[in-house]
Amino acid sequence: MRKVFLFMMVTLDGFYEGPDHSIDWHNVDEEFNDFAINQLNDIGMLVFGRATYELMASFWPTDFAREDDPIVAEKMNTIPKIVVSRTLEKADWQNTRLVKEHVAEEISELKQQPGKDIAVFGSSDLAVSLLEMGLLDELRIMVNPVVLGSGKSLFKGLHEGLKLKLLKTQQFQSGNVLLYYEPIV
Amino acid sequence: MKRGCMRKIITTTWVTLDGFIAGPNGEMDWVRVEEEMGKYEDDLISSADTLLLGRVTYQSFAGAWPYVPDNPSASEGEKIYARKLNAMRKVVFSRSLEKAEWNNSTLFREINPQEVAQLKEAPGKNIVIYGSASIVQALTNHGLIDEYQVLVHPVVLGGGKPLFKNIQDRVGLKLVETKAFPSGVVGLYYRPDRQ
Repeated sequence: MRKVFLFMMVTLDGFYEGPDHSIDWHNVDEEFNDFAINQLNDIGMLVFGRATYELMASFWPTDFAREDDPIVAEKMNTIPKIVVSRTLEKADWQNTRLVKEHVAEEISELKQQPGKDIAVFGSSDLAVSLLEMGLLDELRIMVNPVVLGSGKSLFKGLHEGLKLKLLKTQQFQSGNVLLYYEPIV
Repeated sequence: MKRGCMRKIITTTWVTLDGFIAGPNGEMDWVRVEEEMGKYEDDLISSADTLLLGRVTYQSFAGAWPYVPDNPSASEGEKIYARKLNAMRKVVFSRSLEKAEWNNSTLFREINPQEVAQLKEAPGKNIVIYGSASIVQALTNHGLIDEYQVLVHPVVLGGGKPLFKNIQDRVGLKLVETKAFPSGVVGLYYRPDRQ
Protein backbone atom coordinates (compact mmCIF):
# COMPACT_ATOMS: atom_id res chain seq x y z
CA MET A 1 0.00 0.00 0.00
CA ARG A 2 1.16 3.51 -0.77
CA LYS A 3 2.72 5.45 2.04
CA VAL A 4 1.73 9.01 3.01
CA PHE A 5 4.71 10.97 4.26
CA LEU A 6 5.17 14.55 5.39
CA PHE A 7 8.20 16.57 4.33
CA MET A 8 8.86 19.72 6.29
CA MET A 9 11.69 22.26 6.65
CA VAL A 10 12.04 23.47 10.25
CA THR A 11 14.41 25.58 12.31
CA LEU A 12 16.23 24.20 15.34
CA ASP A 13 13.60 25.90 17.49
CA GLY A 14 10.88 23.93 15.75
CA PHE A 15 9.39 26.62 13.48
CA TYR A 16 8.31 25.96 9.94
CA GLU A 17 7.74 29.64 9.30
CA GLY A 18 9.22 32.78 10.79
CA PRO A 19 7.27 35.93 11.65
CA ASP A 20 5.40 37.30 8.59
CA HIS A 21 5.44 33.85 6.98
CA SER A 22 9.17 34.20 6.30
CA ILE A 23 10.95 31.19 4.84
CA ASP A 24 14.07 33.07 3.75
CA TRP A 25 16.00 31.00 6.30
CA HIS A 26 15.55 27.83 4.22
CA ASN A 27 19.05 26.43 3.81
CA VAL A 28 19.18 25.13 0.25
CA ASP A 29 22.08 24.29 -2.05
CA GLU A 30 22.98 21.96 -4.92
CA GLU A 31 22.86 18.94 -2.64
CA PHE A 32 19.40 19.93 -1.42
CA ASN A 33 18.25 20.28 -5.00
CA ASP A 34 19.47 16.81 -5.86
CA PHE A 35 17.68 15.53 -2.79
CA ALA A 36 14.48 17.31 -3.87
CA ILE A 37 14.66 15.80 -7.35
CA ASN A 38 15.21 12.29 -5.99
CA GLN A 39 12.38 12.73 -3.53
CA LEU A 40 10.02 13.93 -6.26
CA ASN A 41 10.97 10.97 -8.45
CA ASP A 42 9.46 8.68 -5.83
CA ILE A 43 6.25 10.67 -5.36
CA GLY A 44 3.00 9.88 -7.16
CA MET A 45 0.89 12.59 -5.58
CA LEU A 46 1.39 15.81 -3.63
CA VAL A 47 -1.00 17.04 -0.94
CA PHE A 48 -1.12 20.60 0.38
CA GLY A 49 -3.07 22.70 2.81
CA ARG A 50 -4.24 26.07 1.53
CA ALA A 51 -1.35 28.29 2.66
CA THR A 52 1.40 26.05 1.28
CA TYR A 53 -0.61 25.48 -1.89
CA GLU A 54 -0.90 29.21 -2.53
CA LEU A 55 2.84 29.65 -2.02
CA MET A 56 3.74 26.79 -4.37
CA ALA A 57 1.11 27.58 -6.98
CA SER A 58 2.29 31.16 -7.24
CA PHE A 59 5.92 30.12 -7.68
CA TRP A 60 6.46 26.91 -9.63
CA PRO A 61 4.52 27.84 -12.78
CA THR A 62 6.50 31.10 -13.19
CA ASP A 63 9.19 31.66 -15.82
CA PHE A 64 11.67 32.39 -13.06
CA ALA A 65 11.12 28.98 -11.46
CA ARG A 66 11.30 27.17 -14.78
CA GLU A 67 14.59 28.86 -15.65
CA ASP A 68 16.13 28.72 -12.20
CA ASP A 69 15.20 25.13 -11.44
CA PRO A 70 13.80 23.45 -14.56
CA ILE A 71 13.82 19.85 -13.32
CA VAL A 72 12.09 20.54 -10.00
CA ALA A 73 9.67 22.98 -11.65
CA GLU A 74 8.68 20.41 -14.27
CA LYS A 75 8.01 17.79 -11.61
CA MET A 76 6.16 20.14 -9.25
CA ASN A 77 3.96 21.38 -12.07
CA THR A 78 3.13 18.00 -13.59
CA ILE A 79 2.81 15.68 -10.57
CA PRO A 80 -0.86 15.10 -9.60
CA LYS A 81 -1.75 17.35 -6.70
CA ILE A 82 -4.49 17.74 -4.12
CA VAL A 83 -5.17 20.84 -2.10
CA VAL A 84 -7.31 20.39 1.01
CA SER A 85 -9.30 23.50 1.84
CA ARG A 86 -12.80 24.53 2.83
CA THR A 87 -12.24 28.16 1.90
CA LEU A 88 -10.51 27.98 -1.48
CA GLU A 89 -12.95 28.52 -4.34
CA LYS A 90 -10.91 26.78 -6.98
CA ALA A 91 -7.45 25.30 -7.58
CA ASP A 92 -5.92 26.50 -10.83
CA TRP A 93 -2.47 24.99 -10.64
CA GLN A 94 -1.79 22.38 -13.33
CA ASN A 95 -3.00 18.88 -12.47
CA THR A 96 -4.53 19.92 -9.13
CA ARG A 97 -7.76 18.79 -7.53
CA LEU A 98 -9.52 20.69 -4.74
CA VAL A 99 -10.79 18.59 -1.84
CA LYS A 100 -13.22 20.45 0.39
CA GLU A 101 -14.46 17.67 2.63
CA HIS A 102 -14.22 13.95 3.48
CA VAL A 103 -10.43 14.26 3.56
CA ALA A 104 -9.97 11.03 5.51
CA GLU A 105 -11.93 9.04 2.95
CA GLU A 106 -10.09 10.65 0.03
CA ILE A 107 -6.65 9.95 1.48
CA SER A 108 -7.57 6.41 2.56
CA GLU A 109 -8.85 5.65 -0.91
CA LEU A 110 -5.73 7.08 -2.55
CA LYS A 111 -3.59 4.91 -0.32
CA GLN A 112 -5.39 1.80 -1.52
CA GLN A 113 -4.74 2.65 -5.17
CA PRO A 114 -1.54 1.47 -6.83
CA GLY A 115 1.14 4.07 -7.36
CA LYS A 116 4.12 5.83 -5.85
CA ASP A 117 3.98 7.35 -2.39
CA ILE A 118 1.88 10.34 -1.45
CA ALA A 119 3.69 13.33 -0.01
CA VAL A 120 2.45 16.22 2.08
CA PHE A 121 4.76 19.21 1.74
CA GLY A 122 4.77 21.84 4.49
CA SER A 123 1.13 22.24 5.48
CA SER A 124 1.54 21.94 9.24
CA ASP A 125 -2.17 22.45 10.02
CA LEU A 126 -3.22 19.79 7.53
CA ALA A 127 -0.48 17.52 8.88
CA VAL A 128 -1.92 17.87 12.39
CA SER A 129 -5.34 16.72 11.11
CA LEU A 130 -3.82 13.83 9.22
CA LEU A 131 -1.73 12.81 12.22
CA GLU A 132 -4.78 12.85 14.48
CA MET A 133 -6.67 10.73 11.95
CA GLY A 134 -3.79 8.27 11.80
CA LEU A 135 -3.23 8.93 8.11
CA LEU A 136 0.44 9.94 8.15
CA ASP A 137 2.79 6.98 7.88
CA GLU A 138 6.07 8.83 8.00
CA LEU A 139 7.50 12.22 8.96
CA ARG A 140 10.60 13.59 7.24
CA ILE A 141 11.65 16.64 9.16
CA MET A 142 14.62 18.59 7.83
CA VAL A 143 16.18 20.61 10.66
CA ASN A 144 17.93 23.75 9.35
CA PRO A 145 20.90 25.15 11.30
CA VAL A 146 19.20 28.31 12.47
CA VAL A 147 17.32 29.64 15.51
CA LEU A 148 14.64 32.19 14.64
CA GLY A 149 13.27 32.93 18.12
CA SER A 150 9.67 33.17 16.95
CA GLY A 151 7.39 31.88 14.26
CA LYS A 152 4.83 29.15 13.67
CA SER A 153 5.51 26.03 15.63
CA LEU A 154 5.57 22.61 13.95
CA PHE A 155 2.36 20.68 14.67
CA LYS A 156 0.95 23.45 16.80
CA GLY A 157 -2.55 22.55 17.82
CA LEU A 158 -1.90 18.85 18.17
CA HIS A 159 -4.31 17.80 20.93
CA GLU A 160 -2.24 15.08 22.47
CA GLY A 161 1.47 14.46 22.64
CA LEU A 162 2.66 12.12 19.93
CA LYS A 163 5.40 9.51 20.33
CA LEU A 164 7.60 8.76 17.34
CA LYS A 165 9.92 6.01 16.24
CA LEU A 166 13.19 7.23 14.71
CA LEU A 167 13.81 5.41 11.43
CA LYS A 168 17.00 7.10 10.29
CA THR A 169 18.92 10.35 10.05
CA GLN A 170 20.66 11.97 7.10
CA GLN A 171 23.25 14.72 7.39
CA PHE A 172 23.79 17.27 4.60
CA GLN A 173 26.85 19.43 3.79
CA SER A 174 24.77 22.53 4.38
CA GLY A 175 24.30 21.57 8.03
CA ASN A 176 20.71 20.43 7.48
CA VAL A 177 19.77 17.18 9.17
CA LEU A 178 16.88 15.11 7.88
CA LEU A 179 15.10 13.10 10.55
CA TYR A 180 12.84 10.24 9.47
CA TYR A 181 10.15 9.14 11.92
CA GLU A 182 7.14 6.89 12.07
CA PRO A 183 4.25 8.08 14.29
CA ILE A 184 3.51 5.54 17.02
CA VAL A 185 -0.22 5.06 17.15
CA MET B 1 46.50 31.63 26.35
CA LYS B 2 46.16 30.19 22.87
CA ARG B 3 42.74 30.70 21.26
CA GLY B 4 42.28 27.01 20.69
CA CYS B 5 42.61 26.28 24.41
CA MET B 6 39.95 28.69 25.62
CA ARG B 7 37.21 27.18 27.71
CA LYS B 8 33.97 26.56 25.90
CA ILE B 9 30.47 27.11 27.19
CA ILE B 10 28.47 24.11 26.05
CA THR B 11 24.73 23.85 26.52
CA THR B 12 23.05 20.47 26.75
CA THR B 13 19.29 20.37 26.48
CA TRP B 14 16.60 17.75 26.09
CA VAL B 15 14.00 18.99 23.62
CA THR B 16 10.98 17.64 21.79
CA LEU B 17 10.93 17.62 17.99
CA ASP B 18 8.80 20.77 18.13
CA GLY B 19 11.43 22.60 20.20
CA PHE B 20 10.01 22.40 23.74
CA ILE B 21 11.92 21.69 26.92
CA ALA B 22 8.75 20.92 28.86
CA GLY B 23 5.02 20.65 28.34
CA PRO B 24 2.66 23.55 29.04
CA ASN B 25 2.52 22.58 32.74
CA GLY B 26 6.19 21.73 32.99
CA GLU B 27 5.70 18.06 32.06
CA MET B 28 8.92 16.21 31.36
CA ASP B 29 7.61 12.66 31.37
CA TRP B 30 8.61 12.36 27.71
CA VAL B 31 12.36 12.49 28.52
CA ARG B 32 14.25 9.26 27.84
CA VAL B 33 17.51 8.65 29.65
CA GLU B 34 18.90 5.26 28.70
CA GLU B 35 22.29 3.65 29.07
CA GLU B 36 23.80 5.21 25.97
CA MET B 37 22.74 8.60 27.27
CA GLY B 38 24.74 7.88 30.45
CA LYS B 39 27.90 7.62 28.37
CA TYR B 40 27.06 10.89 26.67
CA GLU B 41 26.67 12.59 30.05
CA ASP B 42 29.94 11.12 31.35
CA ASP B 43 31.90 12.28 28.31
CA LEU B 44 30.37 15.73 28.52
CA ILE B 45 31.21 16.41 32.15
CA SER B 46 34.63 14.79 31.84
CA SER B 47 35.49 17.64 29.49
CA ALA B 48 34.22 20.20 32.02
CA ASP B 49 34.90 21.51 35.51
CA THR B 50 32.10 24.03 35.93
CA LEU B 51 28.31 24.04 35.65
CA LEU B 52 26.33 27.19 34.92
CA LEU B 53 22.70 26.85 35.96
CA GLY B 54 19.46 28.74 36.36
CA ARG B 55 17.46 28.42 39.57
CA VAL B 56 15.00 25.75 38.47
CA THR B 57 17.61 23.35 37.13
CA TYR B 58 19.91 24.12 40.05
CA GLN B 59 17.27 23.31 42.64
CA SER B 60 16.25 20.16 40.82
CA PHE B 61 19.86 18.93 40.63
CA ALA B 62 20.74 20.07 44.16
CA GLY B 63 17.74 18.19 45.49
CA ALA B 64 18.78 14.92 43.86
CA TRP B 65 22.46 14.44 42.99
CA PRO B 66 23.92 14.84 46.51
CA TYR B 67 21.92 11.77 47.60
CA VAL B 68 22.80 9.46 44.75
CA PRO B 69 26.22 8.22 45.91
CA ASP B 70 24.61 6.80 49.07
CA ASN B 71 21.56 5.40 47.34
CA PRO B 72 21.76 1.58 47.19
CA SER B 73 19.49 1.39 44.16
CA ALA B 74 21.62 3.78 42.10
CA SER B 75 23.85 2.16 39.48
CA GLU B 76 27.64 2.39 39.73
CA GLY B 77 27.67 4.65 36.69
CA GLU B 78 25.15 7.00 38.27
CA LYS B 79 27.18 7.14 41.49
CA ILE B 80 30.39 7.99 39.63
CA TYR B 81 28.60 10.68 37.65
CA ALA B 82 26.94 12.04 40.80
CA ARG B 83 30.28 12.30 42.64
CA LYS B 84 31.74 14.27 39.71
CA LEU B 85 28.74 16.57 39.58
CA ASN B 86 28.76 17.11 43.34
CA ALA B 87 32.46 18.03 43.27
CA MET B 88 32.33 20.36 40.26
CA ARG B 89 32.14 24.09 40.63
CA LYS B 90 28.59 25.37 40.24
CA VAL B 91 27.59 28.88 39.27
CA VAL B 92 23.90 29.59 39.72
CA PHE B 93 22.16 32.75 38.51
CA SER B 94 19.07 33.71 40.50
CA ARG B 95 17.45 36.77 41.99
CA SER B 96 15.11 34.78 44.20
CA LEU B 97 17.18 31.83 45.46
CA GLU B 98 18.05 32.49 49.12
CA LYS B 99 21.21 30.43 49.34
CA ALA B 100 23.07 28.07 47.02
CA GLU B 101 23.60 25.09 49.30
CA TRP B 102 24.87 22.43 46.93
CA ASN B 103 28.58 21.73 47.43
CA ASN B 104 30.95 24.15 45.67
CA SER B 105 28.26 26.60 44.52
CA THR B 106 28.43 30.33 43.94
CA LEU B 107 25.28 32.41 43.66
CA PHE B 108 25.07 35.40 41.35
CA ARG B 109 22.04 37.67 41.41
CA GLU B 110 22.27 38.54 37.73
CA ILE B 111 24.01 37.58 34.53
CA ASN B 112 26.86 39.95 33.85
CA PRO B 113 28.19 39.20 30.36
CA GLN B 114 31.64 40.61 31.19
CA GLU B 115 31.93 38.28 34.18
CA VAL B 116 30.86 35.32 32.08
CA ALA B 117 33.38 36.29 29.38
CA GLN B 118 36.09 36.50 32.05
CA LEU B 119 35.10 33.07 33.30
CA LYS B 120 35.70 31.72 29.79
CA GLU B 121 39.09 33.38 29.55
CA ALA B 122 40.29 32.01 32.88
CA PRO B 123 42.19 28.72 32.73
CA GLY B 124 40.08 25.63 33.14
CA LYS B 125 38.04 22.97 31.41
CA ASN B 126 34.74 23.48 29.67
CA ILE B 127 31.68 25.03 31.26
CA VAL B 128 28.43 23.10 30.85
CA ILE B 129 24.89 24.47 31.03
CA TYR B 130 22.25 21.84 31.78
CA GLY B 131 18.68 22.87 30.96
CA SER B 132 18.42 26.43 32.30
CA ALA B 133 16.59 27.84 29.28
CA SER B 134 16.57 31.39 30.64
CA ILE B 135 20.36 31.31 31.00
CA VAL B 136 20.75 29.81 27.52
CA GLN B 137 18.57 32.58 26.12
CA ALA B 138 20.46 35.37 27.89
CA LEU B 139 23.90 34.05 26.95
CA THR B 140 22.75 33.43 23.35
CA ASN B 141 21.78 37.08 23.14
CA HIS B 142 25.23 38.04 24.45
CA GLY B 143 26.93 35.71 21.96
CA LEU B 144 28.65 33.78 24.74
CA ILE B 145 27.64 30.20 23.94
CA ASP B 146 30.22 28.15 22.06
CA GLU B 147 28.27 24.98 21.42
CA TYR B 148 24.65 23.89 21.60
CA GLN B 149 24.10 20.18 22.13
CA VAL B 150 20.43 19.63 21.51
CA LEU B 151 19.07 16.18 22.30
CA VAL B 152 15.98 15.85 20.14
CA HIS B 153 13.54 13.36 21.59
CA PRO B 154 11.22 11.32 19.36
CA VAL B 155 8.12 13.10 20.58
CA VAL B 156 5.88 16.01 19.58
CA LEU B 157 3.99 17.86 22.32
CA GLY B 158 2.04 20.45 20.31
CA GLY B 159 2.76 23.15 22.88
CA GLY B 160 4.94 23.88 25.88
CA LYS B 161 7.93 25.88 27.11
CA PRO B 162 10.33 26.68 24.26
CA LEU B 163 14.09 26.39 24.62
CA PHE B 164 14.69 29.52 22.60
CA LYS B 165 12.47 32.39 23.71
CA ASN B 166 13.22 36.13 23.79
CA ILE B 167 15.99 35.68 21.25
CA GLN B 168 16.98 39.11 19.93
CA ASP B 169 18.44 38.18 16.58
CA ARG B 170 18.26 35.15 14.36
CA VAL B 171 21.15 32.80 15.20
CA GLY B 172 22.88 31.12 12.25
CA LEU B 173 24.51 27.84 13.24
CA LYS B 174 27.13 25.44 11.95
CA LEU B 175 26.42 21.77 12.47
CA VAL B 176 29.32 20.13 14.30
CA GLU B 177 28.02 16.60 14.72
CA THR B 178 24.92 14.44 14.80
CA LYS B 179 24.48 11.35 16.93
CA ALA B 180 21.58 8.93 16.86
CA PHE B 181 21.00 7.11 20.17
CA PRO B 182 19.36 3.65 20.31
CA SER B 183 16.42 5.20 22.16
CA GLY B 184 15.52 7.31 19.11
CA VAL B 185 16.94 10.49 20.61
CA VAL B 186 19.08 12.41 18.10
CA GLY B 187 21.91 14.61 19.32
CA LEU B 188 22.39 17.70 17.14
CA TYR B 189 25.50 19.66 18.07
CA TYR B 190 26.00 23.17 16.69
CA ARG B 191 28.26 26.13 17.12
CA PRO B 192 27.11 29.67 16.33
CA ASP B 193 28.08 30.81 12.85
CA ARG B 194 29.86 34.02 13.80
CA GLN B 195 30.42 35.78 10.50
